[in-house]
Amino acid sequence: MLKYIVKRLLLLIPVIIGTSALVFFIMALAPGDPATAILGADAEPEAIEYLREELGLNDPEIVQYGRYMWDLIHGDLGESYLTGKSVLEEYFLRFPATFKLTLWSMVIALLISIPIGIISAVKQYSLIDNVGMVAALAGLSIPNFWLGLMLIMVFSLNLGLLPSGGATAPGAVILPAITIGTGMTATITRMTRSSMLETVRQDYIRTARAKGVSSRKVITKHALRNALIPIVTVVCMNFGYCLAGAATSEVVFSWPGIGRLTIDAINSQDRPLAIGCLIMTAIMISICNAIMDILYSVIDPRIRLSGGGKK
Amino acid sequence: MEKKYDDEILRVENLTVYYETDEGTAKAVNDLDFVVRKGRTLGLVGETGAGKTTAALSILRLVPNPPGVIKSGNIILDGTDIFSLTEGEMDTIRGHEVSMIFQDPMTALNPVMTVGDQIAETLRIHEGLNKAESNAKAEEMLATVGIPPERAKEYPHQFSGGMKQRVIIAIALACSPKLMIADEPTTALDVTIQAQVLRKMKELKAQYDMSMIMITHDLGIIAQMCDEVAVIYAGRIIEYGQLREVFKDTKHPYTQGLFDSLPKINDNREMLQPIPGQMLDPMELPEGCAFAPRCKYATEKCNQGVPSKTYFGDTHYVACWRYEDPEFKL
Repeated sequence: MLKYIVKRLLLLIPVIIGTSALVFFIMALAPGDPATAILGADAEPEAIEYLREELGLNDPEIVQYGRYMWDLIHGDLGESYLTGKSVLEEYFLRFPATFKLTLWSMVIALLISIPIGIISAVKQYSLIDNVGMVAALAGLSIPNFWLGLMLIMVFSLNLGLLPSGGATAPGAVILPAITIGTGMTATITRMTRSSMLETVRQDYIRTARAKGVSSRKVITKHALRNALIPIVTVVCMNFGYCLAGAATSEVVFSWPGIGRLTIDAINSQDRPLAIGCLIMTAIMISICNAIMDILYSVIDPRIRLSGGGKK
Repeated sequence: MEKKYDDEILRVENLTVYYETDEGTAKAVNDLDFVVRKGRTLGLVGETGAGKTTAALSILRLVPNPPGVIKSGNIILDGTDIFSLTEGEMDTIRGHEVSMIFQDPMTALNPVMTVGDQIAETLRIHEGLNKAESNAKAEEMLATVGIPPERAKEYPHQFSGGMKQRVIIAIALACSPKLMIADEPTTALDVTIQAQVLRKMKELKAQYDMSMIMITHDLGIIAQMCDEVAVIYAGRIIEYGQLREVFKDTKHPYTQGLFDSLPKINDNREMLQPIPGQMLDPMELPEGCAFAPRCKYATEKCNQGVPSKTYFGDTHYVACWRYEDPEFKL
């Protein structure tokens, strides 16, 4: 286990190098100038030139990247151009909001998708299955921003039940969580259904029935655990993406999360903040993947973390 | 209808099972009658797709539905008509009074449960044992089938094919069932392992005083294990009798064909004689004898109606029109 964690941590190094290089050079290629963005379009050219020199923007890109990586090795993600605060500080200021939203969306998604997915598989082509699958298709097809706007219109404007944005009002998390949870629910429901459908046809399910295990217990005890691997995969992947900040939904609901922070940083040419956010996101997704691998090995004894093979 | 016996464990009467799909109806089992007596082994022999497994699954009421539908028939297990039972009552019979061993040991065990737990589960369901008791009994069962009891905590992937099949036998035996159904228990195993597993099964059958249904396409296994033999073709019994009767006094052209397609050790000049043609698609069974299209003795009569039984002695019968002529011989 320890060996595995060390291995995963070492794997983070190429991930960070790759992400940072990609983001750094894309940002460098992007039109616009950070110094102008900071000082405003009508600032004195001398002032802009001075700031460019100060920020090191006049050096060749590769030198800038080298300098950035040198700081990164020392654990320094730099300071935001706009606020002057450290990038990590900015990131972790916003992280709780995104984490909360992710958690709520996931709870909503799991509570709906797993039971419906199981029932759909056990009673294939029944009413619940048909309705569930149409709903899942709809859930996948509806764009997030539109669903968010519709929810705001109905529950905030017309009914006045829930706040339309921000993170401070009570119940503010509900609408954005539903918005993000809808897509996840659809994906997880479909995955649960197809995985269960495949599992209940396996020979060992028939063996369990022939032993006298009741049909209900065969599903909950024998089939579900075997069907869990693909389900855990989509759940963890969705969780990771969501931690990256569900940008559209965060913008629609003015949710102070990572997604909005990243978008704002990119828009305002705040290079250190944008790169920092994306590197942190890559790390978060890597952590989710590692947790996913650990869960695999807990669920299925045939999967061993060390990679040493069977004994 | 089969003759009544005092010591019958299982009686199957007029069993008909169809698989109804969008493409058509597959008549898997047609009007099947047989009896299994206490302490005896009935062999069901026939080609793949003859309906052997469907017949066996019907006894446990585990024919997958949809598409499988039991159209008619009675199955009397030790005096109880199993079609009159509720699902819950059926669960108390499965694994307790009747157990089944499946064909492919590689896929028949749950990969995420320890083998010990898979044996213990059936004991907890039927014998009301608690966790510790059932685990202890599970280890005992492993020892019975010749596996070191300390391996109970291992998972199926840590066992070889032959070992897995023994684990499955241990599960089937755990609650000392009255009847054990073995569906091609050794088909997926190496020949050397086959002999071991069969010997173990025969030994345990005597030890536990069980009756057995042995489903196989292998006449060698039938000869080794069975007391009575039913030869099945396209979901019907076409010849039935004591082992000796069917082997020494073969009546049906199909049974004859099965024997001819075996290599003979004394006669190595001759080529094997395969049965010409293929088994019919169960969706398109003819009016008459299903074997007629492949039968070299077939006459016009064979295509008109299902042949009735002709008895030779007390138990031995054949379903073949040609025996209407008392002079007819293979």
